[in-house]
Amino acid sequence: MLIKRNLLIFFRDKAAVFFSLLAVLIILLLYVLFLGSTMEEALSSQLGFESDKIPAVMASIVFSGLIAVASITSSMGALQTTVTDKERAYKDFLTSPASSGKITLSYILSSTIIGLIMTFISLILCVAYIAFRGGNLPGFTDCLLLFLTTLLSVLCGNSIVFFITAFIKSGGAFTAMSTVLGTMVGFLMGVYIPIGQLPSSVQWVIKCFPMSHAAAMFKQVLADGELSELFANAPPQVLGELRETFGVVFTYGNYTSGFWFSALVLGSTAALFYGASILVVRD
Amino acid sequence: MIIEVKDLRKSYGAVTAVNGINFTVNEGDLFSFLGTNGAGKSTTISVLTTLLPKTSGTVIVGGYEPEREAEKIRGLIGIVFQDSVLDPILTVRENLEVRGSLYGLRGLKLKSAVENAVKLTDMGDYANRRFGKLSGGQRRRADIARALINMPKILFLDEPTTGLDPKTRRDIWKLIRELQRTNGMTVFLTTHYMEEAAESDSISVIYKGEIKASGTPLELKTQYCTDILKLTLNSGEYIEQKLNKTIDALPIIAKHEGDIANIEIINGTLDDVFLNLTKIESE
Repeated sequence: MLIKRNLLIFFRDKAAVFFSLLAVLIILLLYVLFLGSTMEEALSSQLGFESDKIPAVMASIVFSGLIAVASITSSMGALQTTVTDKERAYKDFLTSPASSGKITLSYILSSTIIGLIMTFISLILCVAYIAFRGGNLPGFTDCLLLFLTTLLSVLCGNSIVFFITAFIKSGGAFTAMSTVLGTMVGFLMGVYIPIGQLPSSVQWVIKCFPMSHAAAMFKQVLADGELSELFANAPPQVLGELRETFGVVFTYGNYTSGFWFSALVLGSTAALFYGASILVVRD
Repeated sequence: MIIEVKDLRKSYGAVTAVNGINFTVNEGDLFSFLGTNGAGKSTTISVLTTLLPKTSGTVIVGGYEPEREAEKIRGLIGIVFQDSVLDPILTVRENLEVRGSLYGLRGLKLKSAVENAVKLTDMGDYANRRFGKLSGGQRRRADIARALINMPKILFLDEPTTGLDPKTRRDIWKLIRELQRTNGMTVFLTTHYMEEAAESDSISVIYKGEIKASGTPLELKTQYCTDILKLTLNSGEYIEQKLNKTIDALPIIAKHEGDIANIEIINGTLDDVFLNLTKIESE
């Protein structure tokens, strides 16, 4: 019933629903209006040839990152209830026989459900746009991988936001945190600028930020096929370099991360932050 | 006795909010806990309702100690907080269902508890309206309905009528008295309105963290305030005399018999008791 309550509070607040999708909608709009053509031209001139696959490649790379951003921003919207409750309803819950563990779990589950719903909506919008730009629609296996990636991405994003939220007691502080994190997270995941174009130190920051692996996983499912088609006749080394430049994979010394490594990073991060949050909330 | 407080102290660091207070509340009584803002009322309620741990002393609520048997106390009590804690975006009924679930109520039992609370507070149709759309008086009724969802043995009312218009205050008060009489509930009330406290079975006045007086309204009025006799004689002479007891007016009236143009006896009120008790300390 508490989960239902948290879901109703979020979905009845049309502004909360809209703002949790705002980041996706703004970038989508900017990309459609002018960013897309600029980035496509830049890629084309960098590669030294033109191809009708370039729009799909560029869109799939940018929007893969955007879906990962949505998984964390939608959690922020969903977890606002926990802070509002600390100011008002929490004392009502605490003077009832329900355990604080049950109350905490209801916040985690409801915000995860909200995160999943909003991220799936973002995913559908983005995949539709990639297809519109000439990209391939994901097949059955890709759909399963996208589902897994979305789930892990939401859990990881949710656990990080939940941990931060455990220290926040006022709506004002939460809004400030959301603004800062919402703005930073896109850069921390290397969504707006290809990672390969950034200084080495910044690249390391991005590689060490767990949510970057969500963006990488989405890119591996949505963009890898497009890249392979674009470079079908090029030497494997060229494709490998581009995968690194666009953050489809990350290299740590001689090790190159793959899909399951990134999945492990997301899962471990979620476990770590949920565990830490429970300790903080209990105290 | 359903509530027993012995030498209760509560400090926040160097600040002592409650300094060794003692009082008891009999089962089924309407008990008023009076005090100025910052006197220690809310801190005391927070300790009794398991929201805050005490610094020292003994507290027994319904036969249980808050620190060792908090869950049992929480099942026995209902609280109407000073500020409303219900969710504005949910209907009153939805709010009640959520709160009922916190007491382990499910299915038919939950439905029946919600209907009972709606009926007891006479909310009628507006139980299906969103809490945020209700008037101040209707919201207060909904708050009371929430506190009644588990049919508590002890109902804590923290300034339940503050900010309400006189008619709504009277209606809410009538409802509280009815609940107390028909259901045998013990009511623990804090209020700024002395005319509400005048209907109590017993009163304790707290000031700067210490109990200044306890007793029935009559006992307190007898002890801490005086009646005033005002006589206007036919000659135009005006006499004003403080009376220790109302009956002390008789010899004075008898002395001026046949020469009296007007008689007025003003009884001491709880306002006078409260002001006298807090004035003594201020001076």
